Amino acid sequence: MQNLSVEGLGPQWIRPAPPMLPVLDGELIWLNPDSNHELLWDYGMCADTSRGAVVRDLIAKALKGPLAPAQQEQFVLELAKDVKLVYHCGLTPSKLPDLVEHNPLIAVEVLSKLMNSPEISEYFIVLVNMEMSLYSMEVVNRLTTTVNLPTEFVHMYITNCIASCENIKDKYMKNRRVRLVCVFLQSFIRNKIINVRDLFIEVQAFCIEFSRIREVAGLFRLLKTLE
Amino acid sequence: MEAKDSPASPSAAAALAGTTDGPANDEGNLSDAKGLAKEAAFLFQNRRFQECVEVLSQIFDKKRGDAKVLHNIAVAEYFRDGCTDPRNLLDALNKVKEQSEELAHTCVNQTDSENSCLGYMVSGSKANSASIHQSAAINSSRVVYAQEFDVSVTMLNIAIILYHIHEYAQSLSVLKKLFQNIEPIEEQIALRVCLLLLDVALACEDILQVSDVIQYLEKSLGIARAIGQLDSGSSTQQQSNQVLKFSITSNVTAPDASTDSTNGNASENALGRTLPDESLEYETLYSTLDTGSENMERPISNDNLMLSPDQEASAIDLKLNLHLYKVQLLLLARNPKAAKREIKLAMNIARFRDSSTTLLLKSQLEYARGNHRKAIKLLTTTSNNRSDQGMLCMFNNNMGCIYQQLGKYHISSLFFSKALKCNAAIQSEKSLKLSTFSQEKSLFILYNCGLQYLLCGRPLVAAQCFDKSKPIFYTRPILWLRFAECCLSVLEKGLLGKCGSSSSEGEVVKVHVAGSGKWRHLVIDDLSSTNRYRKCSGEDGVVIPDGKLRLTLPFARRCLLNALYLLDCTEKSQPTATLSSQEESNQPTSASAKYMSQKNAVTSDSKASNVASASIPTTNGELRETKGGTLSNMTLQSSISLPEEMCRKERNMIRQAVLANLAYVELSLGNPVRALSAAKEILQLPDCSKMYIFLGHVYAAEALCCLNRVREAVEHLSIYVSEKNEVQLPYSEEDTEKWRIDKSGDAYEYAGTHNGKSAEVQGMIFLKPEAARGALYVNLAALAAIQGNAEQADMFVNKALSALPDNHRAVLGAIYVDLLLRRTHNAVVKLRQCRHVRFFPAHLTSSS
Repeated sequence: MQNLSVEGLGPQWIRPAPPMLPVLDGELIWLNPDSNHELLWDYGMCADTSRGAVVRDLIAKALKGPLAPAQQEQFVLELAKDVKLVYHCGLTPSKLPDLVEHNPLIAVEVLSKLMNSPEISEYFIVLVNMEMSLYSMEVVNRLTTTVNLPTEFVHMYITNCIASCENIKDKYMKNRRVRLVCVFLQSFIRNKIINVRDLFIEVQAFCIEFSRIREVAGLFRLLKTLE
Repeated sequence: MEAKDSPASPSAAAALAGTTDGPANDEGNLSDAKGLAKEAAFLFQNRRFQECVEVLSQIFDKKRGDAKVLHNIAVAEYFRDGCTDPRNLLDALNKVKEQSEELAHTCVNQTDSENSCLGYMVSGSKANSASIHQSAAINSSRVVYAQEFDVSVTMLNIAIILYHIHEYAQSLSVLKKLFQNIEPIEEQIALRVCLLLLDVALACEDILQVSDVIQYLEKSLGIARAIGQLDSGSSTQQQSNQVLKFSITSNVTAPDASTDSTNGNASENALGRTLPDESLEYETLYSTLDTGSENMERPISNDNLMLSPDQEASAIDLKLNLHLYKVQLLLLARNPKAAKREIKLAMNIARFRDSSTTLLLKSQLEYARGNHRKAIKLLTTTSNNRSDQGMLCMFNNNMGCIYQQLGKYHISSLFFSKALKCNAAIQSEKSLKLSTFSQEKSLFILYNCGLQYLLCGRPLVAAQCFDKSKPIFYTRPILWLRFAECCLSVLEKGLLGKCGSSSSEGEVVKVHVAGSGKWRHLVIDDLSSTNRYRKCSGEDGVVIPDGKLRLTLPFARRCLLNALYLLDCTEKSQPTATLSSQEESNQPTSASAKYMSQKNAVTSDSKASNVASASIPTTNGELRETKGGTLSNMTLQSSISLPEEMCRKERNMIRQAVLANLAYVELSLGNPVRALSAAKEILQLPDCSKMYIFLGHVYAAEALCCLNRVREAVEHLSIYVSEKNEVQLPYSEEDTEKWRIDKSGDAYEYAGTHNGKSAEVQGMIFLKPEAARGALYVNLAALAAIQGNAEQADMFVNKALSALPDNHRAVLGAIYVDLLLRRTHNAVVKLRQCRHVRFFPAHLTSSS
C-alpha cells in the first residue's frame, strides 16, 4: 500500500503563474478632438492647362535647339508664376542631356526648382554620367552657386571631369579642356564648394600630369597654399 | 449611378484620349465644359448637391471617361445621399484612381517610345554598362503625372475616408505615398495632405513620420524662421554679405528667376548663347568661372509654399495647430519637458481663441507627468461646454484614464461607461456628415474599458471589450497579450474549462480514507494531474454560438503567437528604419551613381533628408544654405531621439511577458518542447528582468523534467543554489519596484501614486521574492527526489515548508519525501496540520 501511494503521489512542482503586464505608459487611450478633414472637390476638373502647355512646348523646343532670348524669358516667367509648374513641364531625367546641350541656362533654372523633388537624384545621376562638355560644366558650376548640391555628386563630377581630360586624343582640345577643368576646380575651391582634402590625391595627380599648362600651375599653387 | 458605372468599360480610355487630344471641333465643347465645371463647383460649395450632380452629368456627357469628372460625381453623389455609406464612396474613388493611373501610364509609355530615339549620349566606355542600368531604373521609376491625370485629390479623399472609418494603417500608407511625392502637388492640397498625415500618423503612433511632416511643414511654411530668431538673424547676415558681393558682378545671371528675369536675358546675350562659335562660348564661360567666386548668391527659399496676406489668419491657425501637433508628438515620444515648452508657445498663440484642444492637451501633459490632480482640474475646465456630446465623451474617457492611473478602478469604470454612453448619443443624432464616423470613438473607449475590467479581475467582460476594439488595435502586440492574460486570469479563477478545482493557493488537498482501524489508509489525490489542462469539447471554436468569446488555453496560445509575430514584424522594420535614418544623413551628400541601388531608401525619406540638409554642416565644415527652422528642427530631432530606446524597452517588456505566458500555456497544454523553446527564448533576451529570468528557469526546468532531461533541469535551478545548499532570493523587492518604475518612464512627481495600487489589482503581481524562493525549494526537492537523492530532497522540503508553510504543494512535497523515506507517521502528522486538507469517505478512492 505504501508503494502504491508513492506511485500515486508524484514529486510536487510549483509552476508560478506569469504576472500580468502592468498597464504601460500610454496604453490607455487619451482622447483629443479630431481636426475636421472634409472631402475635397477636385478643382482640376476641366481646368485650363494652357499655361502648362506653353511651358511644355518651350521645353520640347529647348530639347531640340537653343531657345531665343524672348522664349527663355517667357519660360522663366511662367515658371516663376507657378512654383508647381516645373513638375509638369514634361522634363524627365532622360531628357536632361539634350536640354543641357542646347539650353544650359534653362537646365539650371529647372534643376534649381526641382531641388526638392524626390527625383532630383536621378537628374544628378544623369548629369554626372552624360558626356562631359562645356555646357554640363556650366550647368554644374551655376548650380553650385544657387543650390546646395550633394557633395558626392560634386566629387563624382570632378572625377569625371579629370578623367575626360585624359581621354581626349586631340592635343588642342585636350589643352582647352584641361584649362577649363582647372578654372572650374579653382572656382570650386575658392567658393568652398568642395573640400580639397577629399579629392587631394586626384587633383594633385591631375596637376602633375598637366603641369606644363599655365592654369594648372596656378591650381597647384592654390593647392599648396591650402596645405 | 449609371453615369458612374459606364466608364468602367474598356472604351473609356479611348474616349478620354479622344477628348483630350481630340480635333479642333471639340474645342467649343471643352469651353462649355469649363463653364459647367465652374457652376458645379459653385453648387458644391453651396451644398446644393442634387443640382451639382445634374450639372456634373452634363459635363460627363461632354467629357466621357474623364477621371476628375468621375471623381467629383462620386463625391457629390455621396453628399447628396447623406453621407451614409463611406465604403461605397471608397470603392468608387479607388476605381477612379486606378483608371486614371492606367490612362497616365499608357500616355507615359507613348511619350517614352517617342523619345527613345533621343536617348542621351554616354561618355567613355566604362560608364556604358552603368548607364544602361540607370536608364532602366529611371524608366521604371515613379513618374510625375501630367496635370490631367493627377490623382492627388482622389488619393487624399481616399485617405480622408479611411481616416474617418478608422482604417488608420491603410490611410497612412496612402498618405505616405502622397507625401513622398508632395512637391508637385498643389500647395493647398499638399497642406491638407500634411495635416491629415499628422493626424493619421499620430493615431498609428508613427513618431518618425510625424516629425518628418512637422519639419517639412515648418520648412515650407517658413514658420520656424519667425520663431528661430537666432537662426534667421545669421542667415540674413549671410545674405546681405552675398548681396554686397553680388552687386559687383551684375552681369551674371541670378538664379532667382522672379527677381532677375530681365537681367537674365541680358546676361544670356553676353554669353552669346545664340552664337555657335564654341571658342567664344568657352571664353565667356571661362570668365564666368573666374568671377564665380563672387557669385555666391543663394536664395533662401526657392520653392516654398508662400502664403498671401489674406491667408494670414489661417496661417496663425496653422501655426497654432503645428504647435499642438508637436505637443502630441512629444507626448507620444514621452518627453513631457519639451511638450510643456511647446504647449506654452501654443497657449500664447491661442490666447483669444477656442482653446479646448489646447486645454485637453495640457491636461494630457499633466496626466503623462503624473500630476493627476492638476490634470483633473484642467479637464474640468474644458468641459464647460457640457452640451457637446463629443466633448463630454472625451472628458469622461480622459477622466477614466486619470482615475485608472490613480488606482481608483471603480470610478474609472464609471467614467468609461459614461463615455461610451455619450458616444452612443452622438451616433444616434445622425447628423449626416463624414465626421460622425470619426467621432465614433467607442473602439478606443472599449479598449480602455477592457483593460479596466482585466485589472478588476473580470476577464470575461474584458475579453469582450478587447474583441470589439480589435478593428483598431489588431496590429498591436499588446492587444493579443491582453487577450491571453484574460484567458490566464479565467484559468486562475477556475472559470476555464478545466476539470476539478483551480490551481490557486486556496486549493484543497483531497485525502481519501480507506479502510478502518489497523487497515486504515490515506490515499492522496495527486495534484500533478490538475497542473495539466484537460481538453474540453470543441475548443477550437473561439466564439461560442451566443457570440461570447470562449477563453481557452489554445486561444491564449494563438493570441500569444500573434503577439510574437507582430513583435517580430516591428523589430524587423525597426532596424531598417534606423538604417534609413543613417542614410538620411548621408543622402544630401550622396547622389551619385552608386546611389541607384538605394533608390527605395531615397524615396521613402527624401523629405526628412532635405530638411536634414538644412542643418547638417557639409564636409567643408561650413553651414551652407540655411533654410528656415534649423534651430527648432534640431531640438525636435533631439527630443524625439529618446523614444527609439524607450519603444525598444517597451517591446522588450511585452516580449518577456508574452514568452513567459507562452511557456506557461504550453506547459499547461502539455507541450514541454514548445514550452522549453519559449522559456529558453526568455533567457536569451537582452536586459531581461530578473523576475522573468526566474520564470524562464523554472518553466525550462519543468519542461526538461517532462522530457526526462533531469540533469539539464537541475542546471537551470542550481544557478540559484549556493555552495552550502542555500538558495538565494531569485530577485529582490527592488527588482519588482524597478519594473514598475520603468513602466512609468519618468519617475518624478509620481510620489506615492503607485503605492497601494498593486493591492487592489488581482493576480497580476509578481510573487514576493520569498515566495519565489519557496517555489524554488519545492522544485529543487522534486528534482532531488527524482534523482533518488532523498536526503537532499528532505532538506529542500523542510526549507520549503518554512518558507511557504501554507502552501499545499509544499506540504504535499514534504509528504512525498516522507513517504519516500518511509516516515509514514510524519506524513500523517503533516497532513493533519495542513489547513487545506479535506478528508473523504473511502469509496471514492477508486476514481482518483
